[in-house]
Amino acid sequence: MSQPILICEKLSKSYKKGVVVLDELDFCVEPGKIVGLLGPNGCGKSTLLKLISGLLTPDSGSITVCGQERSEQTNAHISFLPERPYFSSGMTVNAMLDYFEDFYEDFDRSLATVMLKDLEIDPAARMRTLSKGTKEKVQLILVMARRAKLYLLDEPIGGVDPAARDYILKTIIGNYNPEASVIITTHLIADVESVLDDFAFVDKGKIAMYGNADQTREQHGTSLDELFREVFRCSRNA
Amino acid sequence: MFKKCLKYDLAATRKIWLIAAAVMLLLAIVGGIGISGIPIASLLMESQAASGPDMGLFAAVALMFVGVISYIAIIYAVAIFTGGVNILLYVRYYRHFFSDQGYLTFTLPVKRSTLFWSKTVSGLIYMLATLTVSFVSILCAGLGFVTPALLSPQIAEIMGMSFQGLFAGLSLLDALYGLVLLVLFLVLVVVIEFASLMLQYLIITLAATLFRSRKALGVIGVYAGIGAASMILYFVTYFIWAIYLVLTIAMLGMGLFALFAVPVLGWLGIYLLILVLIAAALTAGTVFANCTMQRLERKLNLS
Repeated sequence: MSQPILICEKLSKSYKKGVVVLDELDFCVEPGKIVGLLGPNGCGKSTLLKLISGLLTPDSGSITVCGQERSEQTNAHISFLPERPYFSSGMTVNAMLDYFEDFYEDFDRSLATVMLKDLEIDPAARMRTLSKGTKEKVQLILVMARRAKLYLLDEPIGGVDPAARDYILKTIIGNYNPEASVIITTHLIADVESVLDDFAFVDKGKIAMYGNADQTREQHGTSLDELFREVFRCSRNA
Repeated sequence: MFKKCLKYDLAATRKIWLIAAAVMLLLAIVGGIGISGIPIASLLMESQAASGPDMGLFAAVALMFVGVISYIAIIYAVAIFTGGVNILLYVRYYRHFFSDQGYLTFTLPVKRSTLFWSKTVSGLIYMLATLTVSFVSILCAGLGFVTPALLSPQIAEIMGMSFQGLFAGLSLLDALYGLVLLVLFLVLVVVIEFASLMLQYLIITLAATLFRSRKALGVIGVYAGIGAASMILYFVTYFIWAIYLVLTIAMLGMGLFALFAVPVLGWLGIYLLILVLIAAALTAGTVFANCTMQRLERKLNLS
């Protein structure tokens, strides 16, 4: 069996005033999997991605990426798409391509150029002139044009129109390295569930349910979207 | 990776800095020409006093007015230019590290210390370049004032300027002492700029990581706090220094100060003073830098 891409062991994170966001969470992702990290608002999905990408430091527990303990070096294997645009408004799309090409050895510029063309985005355009949705598309293109081992996509389709969603999901499936893994967090479960291999429901800082998407659908006779509603309705009523 | 970070840090400010520096130099040259009106006006006024006022008086007053306005404009322009560049550097630091751009900055495969030192070196380069442009601008103003006197002995006489024997009596040893002093002074300038930049980065880092919301207000609050603490420290230092001086004079008389009157010891005394200042600024800058890096390693506070 191949080595897991990501192992999170007993991961805990709390913010001030004693708000526990992750509570000894265990999570493991095998290579070649697209995993949906699903849960209600504030359950710790984004916090988990920030911990994996190194933006936050865990209170306790460990994170291993590609067999290495998490550090700046493991960032070279991780392609992270945050929820918000991180561009400097004065930069052009082309300048961002240069930036990614300089810092990430695994960045495939020709692939990024093709994707920009497909989505009719002008590479000479300045970021400040682009709409919020277009900025999100550019950001996704930059992230997916890397040949990374682990893609962390925080709400990748949240701000784009339904037509672009299909393209983005196709891009996610079509462009990632089969040896790599993708973790997607989203509320739009119905839109993404067709691309998921595995899913994890996160609740109160723990993995409440983890499984194979197809098997779970077959076993419960329902879609992940409906199962999510059922599980979290129960958990809220309990 | 450091080179790549530095390349982008320098590029982020290059365009706006080049424009600002070009405007500053242009203004300094025009201002320098304007300032040359002051000595020329003095000459005109002198001749008016001798021959009685006519239309030339109006020209003299106008030239004097233009000269004074040019002088004031250059002083303000230098202040705005240096202050503006500093503010630009601080804003860039804040944006790259603590705004949404931090999501990109801190997910690069680069150590936080590398990111920090790249920002420090690029900031220092711009601060020193800004100082150089400001110095050249002030030189332009000075040249504007002196050139008419250099060209016309009459103006030189009216302005009370004498350039003859300016370097007379200057020995080779004096020149050497002066050169060493210049080098030490330049090192002092670099080190003070470093300490100042590190203090500003520390203030921004503390404010941005301490406050979840209203970070800008936080920066002002932390700045005021550190400013007040520095003032108290300065006051205490000066107080101790004053007591020391009074006691020294009381115990030894003015003999200690006489050391500075001896040629060689005088230069050495000044060197020693500058070296102490360099060491103090370097120590302060290093402490500020370490505090900032420790804070950055511990918390980013991205929204």
